[in-house]
Parts: sequence; C-alpha cells; structure tokens
Amino acid sequence: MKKIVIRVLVMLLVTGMLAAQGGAAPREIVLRFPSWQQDEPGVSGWWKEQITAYERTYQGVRIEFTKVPLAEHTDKLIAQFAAGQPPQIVHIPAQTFFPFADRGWLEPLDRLLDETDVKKTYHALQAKECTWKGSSFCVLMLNYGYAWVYNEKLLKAAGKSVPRNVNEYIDAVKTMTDPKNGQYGIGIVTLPGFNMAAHIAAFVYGAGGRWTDERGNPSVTTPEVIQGFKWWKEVVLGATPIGQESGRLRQLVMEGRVASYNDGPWMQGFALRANPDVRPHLRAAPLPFKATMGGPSNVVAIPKSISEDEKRLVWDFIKSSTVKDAQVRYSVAVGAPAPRQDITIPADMRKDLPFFDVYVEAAKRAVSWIPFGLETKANEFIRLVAEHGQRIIVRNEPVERVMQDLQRELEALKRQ
Amino acid sequence: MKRILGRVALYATVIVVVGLLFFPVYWMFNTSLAPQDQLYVYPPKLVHPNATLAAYAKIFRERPIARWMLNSFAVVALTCLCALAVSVLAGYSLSRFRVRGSGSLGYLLLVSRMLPTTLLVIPLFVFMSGLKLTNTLWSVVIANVTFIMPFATWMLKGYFDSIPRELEEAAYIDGTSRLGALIKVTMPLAAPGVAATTLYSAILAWDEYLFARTFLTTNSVWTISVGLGSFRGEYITYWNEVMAASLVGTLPIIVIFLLLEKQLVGGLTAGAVK
Amino acid sequence: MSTSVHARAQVSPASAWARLLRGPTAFAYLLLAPAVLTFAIVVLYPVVTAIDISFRKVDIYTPTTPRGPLTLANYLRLFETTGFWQAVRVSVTYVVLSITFALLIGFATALLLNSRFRGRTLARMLAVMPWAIPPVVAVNIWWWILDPSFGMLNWVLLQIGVITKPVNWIASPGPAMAAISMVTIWKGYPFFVVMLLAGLQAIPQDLYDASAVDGAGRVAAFRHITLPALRGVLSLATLLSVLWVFREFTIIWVLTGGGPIRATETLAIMTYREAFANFRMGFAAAIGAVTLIFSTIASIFFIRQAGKEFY
Repeated sequence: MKKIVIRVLVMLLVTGMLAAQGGAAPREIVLRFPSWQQDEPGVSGWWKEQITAYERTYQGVRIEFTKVPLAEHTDKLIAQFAAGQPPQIVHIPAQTFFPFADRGWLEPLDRLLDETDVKKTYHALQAKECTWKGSSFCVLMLNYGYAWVYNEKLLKAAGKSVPRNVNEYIDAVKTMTDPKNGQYGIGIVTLPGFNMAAHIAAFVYGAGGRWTDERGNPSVTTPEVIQGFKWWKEVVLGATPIGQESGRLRQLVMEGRVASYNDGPWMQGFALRANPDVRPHLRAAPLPFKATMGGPSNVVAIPKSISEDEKRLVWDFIKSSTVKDAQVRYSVAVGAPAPRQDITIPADMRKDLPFFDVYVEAAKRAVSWIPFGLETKANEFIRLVAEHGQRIIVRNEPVERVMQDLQRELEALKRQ
Repeated sequence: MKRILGRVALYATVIVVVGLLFFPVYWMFNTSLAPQDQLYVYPPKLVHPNATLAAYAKIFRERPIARWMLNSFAVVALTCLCALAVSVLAGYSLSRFRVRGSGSLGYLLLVSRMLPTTLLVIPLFVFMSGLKLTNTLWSVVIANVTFIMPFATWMLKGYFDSIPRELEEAAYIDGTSRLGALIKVTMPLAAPGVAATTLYSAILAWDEYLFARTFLTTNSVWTISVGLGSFRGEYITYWNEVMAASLVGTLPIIVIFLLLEKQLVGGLTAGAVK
Repeated sequence: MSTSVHARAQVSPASAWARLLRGPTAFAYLLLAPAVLTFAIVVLYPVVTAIDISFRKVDIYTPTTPRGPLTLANYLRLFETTGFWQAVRVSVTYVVLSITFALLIGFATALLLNSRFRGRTLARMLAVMPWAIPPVVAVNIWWWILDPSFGMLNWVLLQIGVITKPVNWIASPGPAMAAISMVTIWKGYPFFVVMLLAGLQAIPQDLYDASAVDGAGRVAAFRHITLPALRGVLSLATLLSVLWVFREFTIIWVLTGGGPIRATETLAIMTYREAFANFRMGFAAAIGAVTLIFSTIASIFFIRQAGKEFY
C-alpha cells in the first residue's frame, strides 16, 4: 500500500515538474487581462463578446481574461509594474488610475486616440479623468452616478414610501431592519477596502462635503463632511449587517434579506439575477441627497514597457470597444449610459433594463469622489478613509475627533 | 474497582480531548459534503444525511484547482531537489568533520529562524524582478530554499550522527575513497533519515504562502496555498466549496502524514532531545 | 636515520598541497561549499540588501532605481508613528496569548498520551494532525467556524451561555485577536505535544517508582521529577515556537489582514503592508530590521534558559 502511494506521489511530482514548463501554445501571443469584472453579471458578458470577436479577427492572439478581486487588484497591479511584468491590458478603477500615470508606467495615448473619434464623441470626463500632466493615458470605460436600489415590496410592507430627503431615507432603512429575523434595511459595506470608502463617499458627498477643497488641500473637518459621516454612522449602526463586503451584501439583496443597496449601474446586472420572488420587486430611485456621488468608474490603459507590437495589438482591442455598436451593447450590459454620447439605445433593448433611466439621470448629476490633489495617493487615501470609518463604528469614537485625525493624516499624506 | 474507574476516566478524557482538537478537521470534511441549500442552517448539523460530492465537482469546474495542485507539486519537487542536494552534503560534512564553525551550525539555524520572512521577501522580490523570474515557479523554489535548507541540514546532521563512524572507517581501510564511502556505505543507512527530511521539507514547501503570494501574480501560476487563500475576496462564499477545495489541497499532506507520522515526528525530535 | 631526514627534506611543496587537498579537511569544506554558497547568495545577500534599503528613502525598489543617499529617516519615522508601537504591542500580545495556550494544551495532551492505552497511536496521530494542515487551510476552516451567524463556535458559546449574542470574531478588534490566536494555538500545540512526549518518554520509569516507594504523591512527583527533566526541552520548544509565532504572516494576513483597525497588525504584517500595499519599501525594511533585533534579544534570553539542551 505504502509503495503504491509513494509511486503515485512520485508520478504526480514528475508530472508537476513537466507541467511547470508548459504554457501557451507555440507562436501564440497572449495578452494578459486581469480584471475584477471577469465574472461580474452584465459587463463580463460584454467583455467576453469583445474578446471573442477580437480573437476571430486576430488569429494567433489570445486574450487571457482572469479574475482578480477588486480589493487586491490595484495592489497586485502595482506589484506587477514594479517587477517590470505588467499585464498587457491594464484595467483599473478610475480612483486608483493616477498613481500609475504619475509614475510614468503608462503609454501616452494621444496619438492613438486621434485614430478614433473618442475625443470628439465621448463624455467630458474622458478628457478630464484620463489626462495627466497634459497627456492622455487611458480610455474611459464608464462614468456613473450612484442610485438607491430597493425592494419595493419590503418598503411598502414597512409602511414607507420612496424617501425624498435624507431623514426619510434613514427612517425608511431603519424601519425595514429586524436583525432578529435576519432582515436589514440596507447593505453598507463595512469591510475595509475600496467599496467601503465608496459607500462612505456616497453619504459624505451626499451631504455636500468634499474630501479636498478647490486647491487640493484636505478638507474633512468641514461641517458637511462631518454631517455625512454622522448619517453614514447612523445608517450603519441601525440598518445594516456589520463587517460584510459587497459580494455578500448584494447576494443578500438578491435573496430578499437586505432591502436596499446604494450602488452604481452595475447593480442592475445583479438585480436581474435575483431570486424569482425578489426580482419583480427591485426598483431604483435617485439618492435623496444634496449631491449624487459618482464619477469615472474604470479605465483601460496600456503599459509603457511592453513591446511596440503588443501595444498595437492592445490598442486595437481597446479601439474595438469605442465604436458605436460596441458602446450600445456596453450600455445595455451595464445598464447605464456608455461614455460615448452620440448613441441611442433602441427601445426594445431598454425595456429589459428597469433602472436605466434612473442611472442616466444619476450620471448626469454625479460628482466625482476622486480626491483632487491626492489623486496619486489614491490607494492609501482609500485605506485611511476606511480605517477612520471603522474607528467611528467599531470603537464608537466621536466623529469630530476622528475627522481631525483624518485631516492630519491626509495632510501628512499630501506632503509625502 | 478504582482501577477500572481510572481507566474509564482516562479513555473518556482522551476521547473528549482528542475529539475537540481534531474537530476542525472533521468539520472541514463534513462541510465539504453539505448540499448547497443546507449550508446556512441553524443550528449547524454535525452530520449531513444528504451528503453530496457536488461541491467537489463544482470547484474543479470553476477554478483551476488541478492546475494549482500541479504547480504545488512542481514547486515541492524542485525545492526538495535543490535543498536536499545541498543539505545532504552539508549535513554529512558537519556530522563527520570538525571544521571550524561547525559548532555554530545551531546558531546559524537559529538565525535563519529569527529572520522575519516579511523582511526577506522585500529584497527577494527585487532580485526576482531583476532576473525576470517573478510570476514563475522558480522564484518560489529559490525562496523556499532559504528557509528549508538550514532546517534540512540540521535534521540530516542529526541522522548522520546516529550512524556509527566505524562503518565508514572500515571502508577506508578497505581502500574506498571518502566520497565512495559516503555513497556506498553511509547513504543507504541514512536513507530513511533522508526520506523523512525530504518529506518534512515537502510539507514546508507545500504550505508556503508568503513568497508564493508575493511573486506569483497570474491565476494560472498560483500554488494551491495561494489559491486557497484567495476565497476571501469572492462575491459569495459557498462554504462547502471552500471546504472541498481546502480538503483537496490538504490531501497529499495528510497522506504523507498518515503514512509516515512516526518517522516525521522522530525526525523532528532527532537531535533536539538526547 | 639519515635516510629519513633526507627523505623528509625532499618533500616538495606541491605534493604537500596535493596531500592537503585529498585530506579530510578539504573534503569537509568541499561538501560544505554548496550549502554555504547557497546560504550566502539566497539569505545573506538579501538580508544585507534589505538592511541597506532600510537606510535609504526608497518607495518601490526596482533593480534600476537609483539608490539615493544613506539616511536615518526611516528609523526616525518608525519611532514616531503610533502604528509601530501598536504593532509591537499587538505582536507581544499575540505571542504571549498563543504560546501560553499552545504550551498548556500541548503539555496536557502530551501527559495524556504518555499513558498506555489501546488506540494510543491513533490518538496521537489525530492529536498531532493540525501540525500537518497547511496554514491557509487552517484559516479557511476556522474562518467558517468563526462565522458570526452560522459558525460552530458562536452556536456552542450561545448554547452554553457564555455569550448572549453572536460575536463578530473577525470584524471586532478584541475578538479578532482571539481569532488569530485560536488558529495559531491550534496549529502550534502539536509541536509541544511532540517535543514534550519525546521528553516525557525519556524520563526513566525508575525515578517515578522510587518516588512512589518514598511515599511521594503524583503531584510531588510531577513537580520534582517531571518538570525539572523537561526544562531543557520545554525551553527549546518554547523558543522555537515563540520565534515562529513572532514571524507568523499567513494566518493573520489571510484571516484578518491585520484589521480591524490594525488590531491584529503585528510587526510582520506591518512590514509586509508597508512594502507591498503602501509601497514604501525603505520604511518596511526598517520595521523588519527592528523586528530582527527583537528576535535576537529574545533568542539570547531563551538560549540562556535552555542551557546545553540547545545544540
């Protein structure tokens, strides 16, 4: 018995060693494309369509589309760039795009953009958010505004109507909360990371606050920011399961155990996959706040250090996503207006997207939550915001004091 | 009568204590067999009447588990090869010859144990980048050697110490060279010790996470450790799948452990307890 | 007589060298050479590089980055940031908590397994198995056991009445420390079992028989025979375990990531985070260097205790 097991193990060992040499088929170019959207309902289908079409046109080129959780994605990208081995197709959340541009890791795209009509037909944010120190370094994939996705049945059962201001909002989600029976009024991410900071931003910007002022200096001790955090604290402590991250919360919405969720248009894809008894009741409404948080969502870029041939191939892939047909399909997949402005979504495609109009409005009103003046320190900025948020809800520290600490940390961050 | 009570108490204590200590392993096994809709039940079920292997099928379909296992096998094989090749020679040398500095082997081993791996990973990352080895399995192999080699040397020295020198000296008298004596006389006797050391090194290499996580970026190059540690960021945590994957990733180690527990444990204490 | 002197005077330097090279010492060094070389390249050189980096202001250190001047800035910053001192506190708490319980559980189990009973081999195998479980797997298992709503631990504790509402083990600072300690203890006690069992079995039975004849009770026998005999092994096992736990990365990183609010951020975690999340490698290297110094001091202390049991 022992001998057989040992022989099997040795065989596996040898196979493993040989496998370590294996890899892509010979003379095939592989373009690596890590992304958190690889399995996101809605948009992942669109990417896969684009990849299939591209691979048909470019025989001998394969796009390796792999999943990386959003929380680690930026860190991993930085590590890959630092090691001199970046993926060929660089897909980044817009929030954390600037450090890459600032370090000179990305290929300037102006010359290539002139081959397309992007500069003429895309949303203004393309120019604003993809330009760094005078050059363009990325192509905008999506800009958005947050909206409030809610379960109408649960709302009505609680005797509430769609909130028109923040007080009604807080009241509604609290009323829909019954922890003993596993029911919560809203899903707010409180596991530190990108999404936690985004959810905080929804309230902070909703109160009219800004992370930094017009000159780019941190401004988190303003009454508006403090008010935003206080609203956030009240909602978190009164209406949401603590310590969860977005995947789990969205799942709970889909199961009907969480009654609402602040999110961007991609929430539509999740809503369409909800449980059959929940799906017909999911609606979207504008956030009843002074301002709607949003802005650029994610961008695509090309690393500077890869070969010219590869750059060309990657650009052709990106280019194929900017044409009208692709943009229309993108809009339908994501459930929101695509960056290209001169397209119209046919009515028969729109009817399957119940939230579409709400998100069109939200995108128009959206205020970007990227901290002006701290763009290149985005990664650490997000961490600091999440950490200080945690101090408020976990250690119950007074908001004013925590904001003073955050202000100091942000000022130190800016000086570095 | 008192004796029987004492025996009963002993057996009862053993069952309770060992049961509690082993429980998490059983729980992993039990959860991996749970049907999906039975996962979030309250109170938790100790045994699942509708046990199913569906989770196993699903994880192999959805994730490159087989690929990760193969990568781990490759890393383990190469690490053991490199580390053992060097350690056998060094262990033998330190066992047989009074070279200057052999007394400090223990301290050298201690130093390598004091070294924070999180410190070591920084310059190693820089080196691997420079050599364009990041995202290849070789980077992990080389990094593994850093902590496995000192330990293997120490273990092997202990084994060689237990083989009487007279046997080799008899060979010298017969005219065999030193190297010949090592190969023909000592090694066959040390074989069990070398095997035990190899398996111990294999376990250490299989379990390694820090270097693998830092150096390996693409999904397809991950070792099973990195793969199993990636479930945190998922959209939805299906515990039966996580447990099934974890069990699959532990299986080779458990097999080694069950078959060779005695030798492994013996090797661990060889030289430590006189 | 004269011939031997004559013969000796005729030995040339070359053949003396040849004899040396074929001699035992050369062979010994030759065998040692690969190991020493490997160690120098793969351990010493990186450590020297790391310490060098710690004295420079580097963020992302790539092979082509210009080095910059030597500076103490990283170390100064270290002692100024509250994060560092918190990490020290967290590390100490973590080590003390984990080792204490691992030792107690390991000792108790070793004593138990030292008795003779049927199925002892099986019992030993099951009790020691957690050592073989990969740390990542151990984390996954415990992550599930510690699930706030459906995990086993909360259910048991609620049933017994130790807690009145479910504890969120990973998301609350205090419980998170308990959580990482639990996993570490579970992974760490088997080592104590193995070492102490070997130590216990090395104690001659006659000593116990003699003391029983003298009328000494079990407790006295334990205090005067068992404990002193185990002192060396205990010290060694504790030293090795302390060094392991102090450097432990995987368990904490995968389970809590150092959170919440850095409540479980040990020095090892802080080093890694500063290097690969914040990308401040010079600063991270400084933290690592200081950690190394702490380890050295602790080791010296323990070696004194272990005495000649060590090596």
